[in-house]
Formats: sequence, C-alpha cells, structure tokens
Amino acid sequence: MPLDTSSYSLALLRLDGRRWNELRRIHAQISTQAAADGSSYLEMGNTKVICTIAGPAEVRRTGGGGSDAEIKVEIDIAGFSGVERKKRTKTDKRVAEMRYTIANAFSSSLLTHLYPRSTIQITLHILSQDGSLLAACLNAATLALIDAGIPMTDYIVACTAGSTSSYSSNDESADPLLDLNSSEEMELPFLTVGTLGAGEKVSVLVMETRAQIGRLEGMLAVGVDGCKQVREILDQVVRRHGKKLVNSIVE
Amino acid sequence: MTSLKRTTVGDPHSTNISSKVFVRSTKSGKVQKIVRELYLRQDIPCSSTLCTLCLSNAPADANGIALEDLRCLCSIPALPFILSDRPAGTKAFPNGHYLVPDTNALLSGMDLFEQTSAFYDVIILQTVLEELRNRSIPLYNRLVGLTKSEEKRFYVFFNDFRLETYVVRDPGETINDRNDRAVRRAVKWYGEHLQQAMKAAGRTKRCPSIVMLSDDKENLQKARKARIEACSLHDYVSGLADADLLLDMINELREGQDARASHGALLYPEYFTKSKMITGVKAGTLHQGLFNVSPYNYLEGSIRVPAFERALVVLGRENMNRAVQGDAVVVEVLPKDQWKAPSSKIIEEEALNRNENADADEQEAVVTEQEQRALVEEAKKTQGKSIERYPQPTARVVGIVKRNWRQYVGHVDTTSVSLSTSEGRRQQTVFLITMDKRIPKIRVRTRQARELLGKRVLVTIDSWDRDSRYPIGHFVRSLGELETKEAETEALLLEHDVQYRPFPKAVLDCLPKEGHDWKVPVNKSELSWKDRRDLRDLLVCSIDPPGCQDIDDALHARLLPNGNVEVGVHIADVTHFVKPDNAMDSEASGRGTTVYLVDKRIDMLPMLLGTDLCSLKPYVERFAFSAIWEMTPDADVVDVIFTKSVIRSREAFSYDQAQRRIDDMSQKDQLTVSMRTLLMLSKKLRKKRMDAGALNLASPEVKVQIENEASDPVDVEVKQQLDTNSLVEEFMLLANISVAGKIYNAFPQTAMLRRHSAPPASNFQELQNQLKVRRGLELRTDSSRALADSLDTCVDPKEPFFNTLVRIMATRCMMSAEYFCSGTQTFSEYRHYGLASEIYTHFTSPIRRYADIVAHRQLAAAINYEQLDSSLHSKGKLEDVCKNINARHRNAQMAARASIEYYVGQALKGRIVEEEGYVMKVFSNGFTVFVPRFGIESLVRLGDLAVPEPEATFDGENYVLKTAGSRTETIVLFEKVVVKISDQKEESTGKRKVRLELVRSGSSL
Amino acid sequence: MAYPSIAIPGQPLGLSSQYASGPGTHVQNAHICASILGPVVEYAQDTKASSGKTRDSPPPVLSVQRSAQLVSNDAALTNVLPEVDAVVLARVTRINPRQATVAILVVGETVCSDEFQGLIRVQDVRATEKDKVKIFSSFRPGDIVRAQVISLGDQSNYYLSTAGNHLGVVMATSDGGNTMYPISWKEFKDPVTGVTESRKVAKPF
Repeated sequence: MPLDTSSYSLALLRLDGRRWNELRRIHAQISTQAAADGSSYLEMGNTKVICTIAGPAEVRRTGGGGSDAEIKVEIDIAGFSGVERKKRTKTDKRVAEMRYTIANAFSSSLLTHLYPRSTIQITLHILSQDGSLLAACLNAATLALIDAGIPMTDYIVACTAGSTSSYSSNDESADPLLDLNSSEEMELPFLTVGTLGAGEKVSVLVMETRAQIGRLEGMLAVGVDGCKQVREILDQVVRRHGKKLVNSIVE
Repeated sequence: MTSLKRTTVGDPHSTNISSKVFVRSTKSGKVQKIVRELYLRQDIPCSSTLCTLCLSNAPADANGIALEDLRCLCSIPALPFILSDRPAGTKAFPNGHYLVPDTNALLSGMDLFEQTSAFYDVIILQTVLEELRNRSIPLYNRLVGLTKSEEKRFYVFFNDFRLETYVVRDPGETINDRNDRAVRRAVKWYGEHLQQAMKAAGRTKRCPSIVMLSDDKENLQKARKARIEACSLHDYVSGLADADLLLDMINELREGQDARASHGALLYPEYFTKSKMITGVKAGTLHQGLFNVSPYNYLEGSIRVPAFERALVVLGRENMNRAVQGDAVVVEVLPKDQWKAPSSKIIEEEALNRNENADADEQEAVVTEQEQRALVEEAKKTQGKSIERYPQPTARVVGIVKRNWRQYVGHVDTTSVSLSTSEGRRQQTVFLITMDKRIPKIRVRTRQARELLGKRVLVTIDSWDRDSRYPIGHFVRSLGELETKEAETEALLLEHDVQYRPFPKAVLDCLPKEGHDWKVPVNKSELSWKDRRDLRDLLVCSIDPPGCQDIDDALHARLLPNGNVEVGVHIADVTHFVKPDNAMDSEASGRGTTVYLVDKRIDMLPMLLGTDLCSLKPYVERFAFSAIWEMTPDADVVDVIFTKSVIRSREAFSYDQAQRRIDDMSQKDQLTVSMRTLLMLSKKLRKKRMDAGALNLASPEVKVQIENEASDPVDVEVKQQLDTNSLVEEFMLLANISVAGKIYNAFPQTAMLRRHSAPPASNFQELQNQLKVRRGLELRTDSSRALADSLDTCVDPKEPFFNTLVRIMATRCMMSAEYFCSGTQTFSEYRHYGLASEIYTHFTSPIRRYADIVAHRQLAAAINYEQLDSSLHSKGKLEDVCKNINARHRNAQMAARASIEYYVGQALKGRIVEEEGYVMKVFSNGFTVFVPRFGIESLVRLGDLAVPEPEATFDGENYVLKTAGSRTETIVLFEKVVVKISDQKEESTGKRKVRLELVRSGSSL
Repeated sequence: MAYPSIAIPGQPLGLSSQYASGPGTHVQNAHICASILGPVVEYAQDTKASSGKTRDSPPPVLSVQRSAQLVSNDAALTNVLPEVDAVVLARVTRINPRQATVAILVVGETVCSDEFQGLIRVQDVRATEKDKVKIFSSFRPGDIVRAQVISLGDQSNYYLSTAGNHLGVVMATSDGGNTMYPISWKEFKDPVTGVTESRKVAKPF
C-alpha cells in the first residue's frame, strides 16, 4: 500500500500529487446520447458518470402530479465501478440518500412550475467511482438538464472539501482539501457542497463524516471556492456546445 | 450517436497525468485492483540551500504560509531549505555529498542513519519511503521521525510526483526494478539540477555529489553504467572515521544470506504460504495466536487459541520453528498421540548449550544432543505414568503472522568469544544472551567482541533463516558495565519499554511560566477561579507513604448538623495544567504511568507539576478536584457532589505518623478527630465491600532500604500494613467507584473505565487440586464471594503464613485488570472482580497515571465545568489510549519488580543468610521456594542439592519430590523449608540474583 | 443592452425594466435571465395583447430559443400539450357502453411525440339527444376521431367531446378491413362490400 494521508505534512502534497486547493481534471461532454431528451458525460478524475434526462413527460400513474413538475432520480451504480464488485440493492440507503439530495436540489433550481403534472426523470449511470461521487452526479445532471432544455434559474455545481486531519486528531496545522478522491474520502472528514449560480449561494450541503467544528468553516470556504472553479469549467463546456449548435444551424 | 472517445492531444493536462495501478489483497483474501491518478508537477523543490531555482515554488499550505516559513515559525533554524550548502564529505567525495539511500540500504542500516556522527543531508525518495513502509512499519516510523528532526537534515523528495523524475513501469518489469530505476533517475536528476542551479547562481564552489547508497549489486552496476555516484552501505561506512563501530550496526541480513547461501543445510521446516495460512485459519484446521515461551523451560511454548480451552503447547525447537516470544503465529495441532502434559522440568538454555561455538555452523543441528537427551527423558516420564495428568494438546508452528521483534538487552556470551590475541580486531561471530530468558541466543557478528565483554548491550534481531539454529542480529549500542547501577537501570527500563529520556523542550514549554512561584490567584475573579469552590477553610490532610513527594490525594471529614458526616476526597487538579493534546499531554499519554524503581522514579509528568504545582502539599493553596459525600454514620452514602476546588492541606502525614496520632488519645484537636471519623467510616466501608465479595489478595511486597541515592541498599524489609493504609485505600476506592458511575452516565460510549474480569475456572484448577491433595482444603471459585470465603478457610493453625501463601498463589491465577472504553464492552463485562464493584475507574492518582487524567477530563465535562475535548469523544482514539496505558502499566509493574529483584540481590551481595521459605512449585528436577522475609522466589535444582546429582522420584499427583542417593530429602508442596540464601551472578542473564540452597526440608525439620 | 448571442442558463440578459421576459427566460433580481441554453432572440411584443391602456410602446420581449427548435422544426413541436378547446385528432383504442378511450395523436397542427390518453364520455358524443347515444354505434376501435378538449380531466385522461358538426369520426375501416367513406352524418359505407356502419361522422370540409 502506498503512503496514506498522513504523509501530507511532509511536503504538502496529497496522495495523488495535488496541492490542497487543486481540483482533479474535469472532463465533460454534452449530448452524448441521441435518444435521450438530454444527456451528458462527466469525469472528475477517475469518477465517471453518464446522465440522461427523460421528460418533462406526462405523469402516467394515477394519484400523482401537482402543479409543479416532479423530479425523479435514478442512480445506477455499475458493478465494475468500484474496487470491489458489489451488487447494490434497490433499497441501498446511501443511494437513496443521494437520489433524494439530487432531486431536492434540482426541484429548487429548475423552473418546475412550467410543467404541471409532469415528471422529469434524471438517470445517472456511474461507470467508475473514485470519490466525490455526489458532486459528480450533481454536475453531470446539471449539464444533462441544460441539454434537455429544461429552464432553470441557474446551474448547480458541486464539489467536495475535506480536512487533512481526522476528526479526533488535534492537529493545529490541519489544511482544508479540495476535491477528494476515494482513498482520501476513506480516511478524512469531508463534505459535499453545491452552489447555485455565480454567487456563493449554497444549495446543497451534505456531510456524513465527523469533523471538528473549528475546521468546518475552512472546509466550506474551500468547497465554495472549488465550486466556482468547477462552474468555470462547466461554463466552457456549455458554451462550446451552444456554439456548435448555432453553427450547425447556420450551415 | 456521439462517441465518448476523445483524443488526449487537445488536453493540456494529459502529459501531467499518469495513473498508478496496483493489485493488493485484502484481509479476507480478496484481490483488489486499485487505480489511482497521479498528478505530476514541476513545483516540488529540491530543498537544497544551494538552489535558488526552487525557492520560488515552495509549496504553501491553506493559511498561505509556505512550508519553509512554517518551519521558521516553529522556532526551528531559519533555513529556507533543509539540505545544507556545505554537506559533509568523505575521502571519496571531497566536495561533500547528499546521500540517497535505496530501500535495501535503509532496511539494513536504519541504526546507522540514526547515528549522530555521520549521515547528514540525506534525501529520502518517496519511492523508497513507500517501499519501506510496505516492508516494515517500525522502520518507516523511525524514518519519518528522522525526517522531522531538524538537525539530521533528512528531506523527503516526492520523486514520483515530479514530472522529470517520474518513471513508468515497463511491461514485464518487476516493481523492484522499476523502483530501482526510479531511484537512479531521481539521483541523476538531482545531480543535473544542482549543477544547473549552481550555474544559475554563478557560484564557483564545486557542486556536492549525489551519492546513491544501495546494497543491491545489480542496482549499483546499473548506476555506474549510467555514471551515477553509487556505493554500497558497507563501502560507504568503511570510509568514515568510526567505521568499526558503525560497521557492526549494519544489518546482518544481506551479508549473512550471501555467505550462507552455499551451506544449504536447512534446519527448520519452511513456513506455509500466507494464503495457505489464511485459508487454514478460516477453515479451523490451523490456529492463530500469540506465542508465549514458558519462563521455566525455554523449549516449551504455549499459545492460547479460541478453539481450545487449554493453551496449545509447543514442544521443542523444531516445533517452535523460529517463533520468538510474543510473535503472532499460526500453528497446526499435532495428532492426539503426541499430546503431552506440560513439562514438570526446568530446562534452561544456559545449562544445556553452554559451550557452543557461534562460528561453527557446520555441525549445527536444530536440536543439540543435550537438548535431545532432556526431551527424551521428558517423554519417557510422561509415558511411564499410569494416569496422564493433563494431556494437553500440542502443536507446531507453521507460520508467522507478525514478528514481535524489538531491541533486546543482553550480554555477550563469554565462551563464544575467541580471545586469542592474534585475531585482533577481526570480525567474529558471538552469541548474545538476552536478559529475557524466553528469547533465544542471538548470533551477532562484531569487530568489537572483546570490548563488549562484560557490558550490557542492546541488540536487535534481523532475521532467522531456516539454515540457522539461532536468530541473527546486530549490535546497537553498549549501555555500560554489567552490574553498574546506571547500566542495569537503563537495561531494565529498555527491557520494559519505559520511556525514560528527559522531557523534550516542547513539553517543558507547556508548563506554567511562573515555575515554582506559581500560586493560586488571590483574586477570585481570575479565570482559573471560575466554577471553583473555595474549600480552603476545610481541615484537609494527606496520608501517604513516607517521603512521598507527588501527593495525589487529600481527605477531610466533618460532622454535619443533621448527624451525618461530610467526607471529602480531594485529588490534585492535574488537568488544570495539562491541557488536552498539547505536547505535554501526548508525552504523558505515551508514558502512561510513572514508573517507580527502588532508587528512581520515572515521572509521567515533569517534576514541576508532579512534585510541586499539582502535588497537594501541606500549608499551601492548591487546585483540586473534589468528590464530597454526605454519609450516614453507618457509612451509607446519602449524596455525592463533584467539584473543582481550592484547598489548603493542613498536614501531610505518613501512614505511620497518622496511625500514631490517631492512636494517641491525648490528641483531641479537630484534625485528629476528623481523622478518627475517617478511620471509623473506612472500616465500615471495608466491611461492606468484603461482604459484597471483594477479595483480599496478597502479593509479596518488600521494601528496599537505601540510605541515599548513590549508596548500595542496606536492608530489605517486608512492607507493613497499617489501618491508615486501608483508610486511604477505602476512600480512594469509593471515589473511583463514584466517578466511574458519573462519567459512565454522562458518556455511555466513551467513558474511561477499569475492569477486572472473573478468571476462568480452569485457571484455578491446578491450585484447587494442590490444596485438595496436600491439605484436603476446598477452594471454591464460582463467585468472588465464594472465593473470598474459601480463601479465609485456607488456614493452617501451625503455620500462620500458609494463608498468605495461598493468597499469593491465588492472585497469580487471576486475570489482570485493564482499562477500557465503555463502548467496547457490554455493561455486564464492566465488573471489577477483585473489588466486587459493578463499575470502576481510576480517578485518584492523576499525577502518576494517565487514565486518571482522562477520567478527570471526562468528569469535568460531566459536571459541565468544561467542554470535553474531541479526542475523548472518539471511541477509536480512546481504545488506542487504553491499549497503550494497559501495556505501560504492565511494563511499569514488571520494571518495578525487576528493580526490586536487582536490589534485593545487591543487598544480599556477599551475605549468606539462612531463612525460612515455602515450597511453591515442584518439578521433576527441582522446585521453587518462596522466602517471605525478602519477598523472593527462586528455583532450587536437584543438581544444587548435592554433587553428584541425587536421583529423584517425582510424584506429580501428590506434588512430592523424593530424592535418594547422594542426598535424601523429601520435598512437599506448601511445606516449610529452610534455605541458605546467597548471591550469585547468573550466567544466563548476567543479573545478580539470589541463589537458594536447601538446608533442611520439611521432613527433616 | 448587449446580450450574448448564445445564453446559458442563469446568465443575465437585460434589465427587466427594458425588456419583457419571454419563453426560455425568467426574472431574477430585476434581470431577465436565461433559463435554457440557446440563442437569444428579441422581438416586439404583441400589441394586441396589451390593448390600448399604455400609450408607450410595450418593451421588447427577450426570449431564449430552445436550440432544438432551430435544428428541426418537427422536433420543436414535440412539447405541445393538449389544452382546453384545442382540437385534436385521436385514435379510438377501446370502447365500452359509457365511454370511448382514445389516444391523442395530433394537437391542433402539431403531431405529438407522445400519445396522450383521452376519454369521450357517452354524454359528450353529440350535442342533442344525448340520452339516445350508443357508444358502439358512434365509435369503433381504430377510428380516427376529430375532437375538442373540454377539460384536462383526471390524472390520466383528457376529456374530449365530439359535440359539433365538424367533430366526430373522420376515418374508419369496416369489418372487412376496407377504408370507408362517410355517406351521412351518422353512417359510413364500405366501398367494396357496400355494407354501411353507423358512426358519429364529422362533417367533411
């Protein structure tokens, strides 16, 4: 096993050679699936996610539907995505939690009142997991929703932030970390933060590990800052896609 | 359909990203393939002060403080970079050099790198650090320790993250080859980089060489081909000034292997493969456990495994298969016809293999002739018996899960050293005999054999190969002459892993600045007075052993108007001074406990706190943590409160003084009256405790009288028990129990508690049988109450000491008490068996025990005095703390015992005394005698009775040993004997020990 | 105010005092912001809608067009939903004495990408003599019906009506499988067999 996170203090380098405030490489594509109403493919390091959108479509079942569109999220974690081949059941609590978080986040950012009694189905396929899974899902869903042309007030972009010291160690010089990979997530406290728009408006904040309250502010600040960086990258991807569309019309 | 494929050409990062793929297997045997990203960069500095290129991109942490500035802030020399600009050189490298060791060099020479005479300016490559970590965690920790010390100038260079030095593993290349190549690449880059840097800076001075140290011949060859400076550790050290000394410290492993490869005589069976062991253990065909060697017979080991109620016995060197005391091993149970009773014979390595030649490998067999003979005799005896006493399952070691090798203290076996002058300083192989009899002799190659004779030395075991009868090790350092107080004390401390070095500066910096002038603030509005009760007008006093400086506890009692009594126990408020997680706290946590030796005390906390500021000295105001009860005159607790307080002790009594004052009826002052009240209550408390089934156990406690620190011991006396001893004890127990309940209620998952589990019935089996056979007495062990009662019936009207003897022996059958974190056990497991209490903790001695400090913090949080530190919320953290302090506590006790043993030996030096003793154990070729007068227990071998050795018949069922021939004696268990006590230097351990000779046995008494 | 040629969601396009918010935009903090990705289009507001109350010319409307609308006109219409009073074309899927279930295929002039389910209840088949209507003599499964949406209905059905001369069956096949032609307001005739079948016939244009 290679070095663990405790080696950070030796040279202020993380396990994969990044500094504390560096994102992993983000690569994204829009409109990858012609059959879907909207789709995207996103890589954050080795975390790879495909997102497809179906809808807004009419509510089929009886008894549901209201004055706003309902957002349904389905997450499919491929068996080969993790280190160990694991069969996840439908009732997996962690997946359910992610689905709920994503649905909740987008029902506030999408203009759902334009589509009464309809559903917007977000389907996420996770091809590879290497940390920051929820953040990657949120980003991929944002791109796919843009592709689907569903009106929204602004993008939701997300990333993770952690701390170099575990909860119980009283390390004075604990640094906050940006965009954790899976080995860091396993050892360190971290949170997922999602912001709406260019400002510092936090719309998603999830933390499942314990962290000392004093370090939280730093982690959050780094996370929000990271979201800005992510937003810039996604912005370019969206613009490039928009240009391509306009060009194809002109031709 | 859009293709997700993309070209990497357009990606600006593509050259900087690589990935690392490796396969690992988990504990459960699964194989995992791990893929990790690597971000290669160019801003990793070389850290040489010669280089100006790298200065600009020194990394910064989140506070914007560059790493190097950070070092300055921590009052560390204001060097911008670590590696010096004038590194030391040798003849071969006159311009000075930076050393780059590879993994092998570190594995074999870690002791060298820790030397202060050489090995400065060392570059540790990330590749090497990772490899070392995989190979040996302790070595890795030592290396990380080195990189953190400023004066050694060790720098960790993350070569695998730097673009220029990153090496991709070629297909078909082994990982070792790849790592070696990475090391060479880094060395080359460093050389080029420095040259460039020098040029850029326009310096004229010659550039220091970058020297790769490696013990791998192939690696060295390849390095030379690539024109990289490289040499083997051996060659490098030979060029240093104190080469002789340093050469000994190179690990034998590699050299030994080369030399021995030709021999090929394999003495031990091969270990099973890891996977075979794992599957075997899982399937239940193999068993895993800790290997323990019998202190009486070095050829007999035992392993407790969950599958068997009785310990598995491992007999003989071949079955032990290179396992050393404390190793985690995997064993295979032997067929039932090979099961044996545990040995009833004393076998000491020294006695059997006295004259072996350490160099003579050729005729080596696993089992020497003498050993063979001893074993055969043994076997005959067991088989000849009509009824087998306890046929115990036997096993053989088939693999080692984890070695428990550490540094051992010992001395060179005189007989193994060749003294002929012609040999001069030639390297020779000697045997090193460790102080711990359970550790086999260690074969050490040294050039300084003659200097080391008669010295206490520290060695480590490096390896134990199949073709070597003894483990191979190397010499670390010499502690001094045998039998000098300094050397022996240090040996003792090392052997018991007691941290005895002076407190580092960081710890002393945590002390209050006022030093000895610190006083309780007069102004009550001061922060430290917050939530503190002013108890200065209470008549508080302390009762301790004479000469006690670290006074943990003080007491008071006063009558209340309603007829009840208020009793207060005041404990030194150590946590006021020791704040969680500062340097002092972590040092104390590491030390775990104060260690009391006969002539010395190894403090857990710095002197200033332990003996002054925290110590509840008389006549001065001190901060305390008080537990105050309201009790009825029948000692029933009505109410209890806990509070931080300020007290002023009126007097510090010794047990003796207090007793005299209480007994002196003419004294009628308030203090004495309150002490009498306390005594009265304590007796009632004790009675209640005894009724509940608390055990009154005994251990032989003696006290060594020393006139002053420097002189030799004068006399040995058995400690006396006074009423006042139990007065203090009862109230401390009460306080501990009350606090335990309080903190458990407040923190059900993370309270620091102490438990003493009920011993399994099988522990008492032997003693029960002995009592039944010899005295017709019954020992009932179904509950602590039953045990306490039946112990009371074990009396011999003619022999008042008999009861104590039984109690001593019963104590040895008990489990040891341990600290634990409440969340790790179910409530029913919290019981303290010996004290018959549902719940217990340690609260009353925070100056000398770390557990008490934790309890203090938790209690303070429980009464809302302060916030609980986060580290005390974490179950995992607390478990680590418990594990450590349990081990430290045990070690401290053993060290104290060893110290007493040593001094008893010294006190008896040159004296010959006849004294009464009692037979505690009977073997087929000897017996142990306990002498209460000195609290010593020692072996008497048959061979010691008379020359030639008398014939003996051993009746194991009745515990009788009859000798005939040259001397006729009958040795019966529990009987009184008279022994002659003299001192003797024990050859096997180099310790001065008492030697007992039988004068009269019970039959002839 | 200069707005970009392509807007991305959340991007401010202009002040809400200067422009009116059109499709694909929303108003946030007094700014017109894009809510979808696409080219920005500005056009004058429909004067009819704002009658004559304000004398000033109404502010121009900013709208972001769905990129797909430009790419293909057909696709642009996929998102049309039936609304009340819309005239739809639907296929009868099944009938029972109380109602006919239909699948709405075309809303107005737009072909739906998805079928919507609708209901024609027996009392909505024609305007007069409602009590005499029999579903099986008005519709048969497979008929194409022109109908008007009278209500968004319940969770699963739009309620349609064929009360009106221009509404009713426009295309029908006979039992023999031949396409029939209308011969009266309540009959279709098979041109091959000459058999007539009764339907609620829509008045041909």
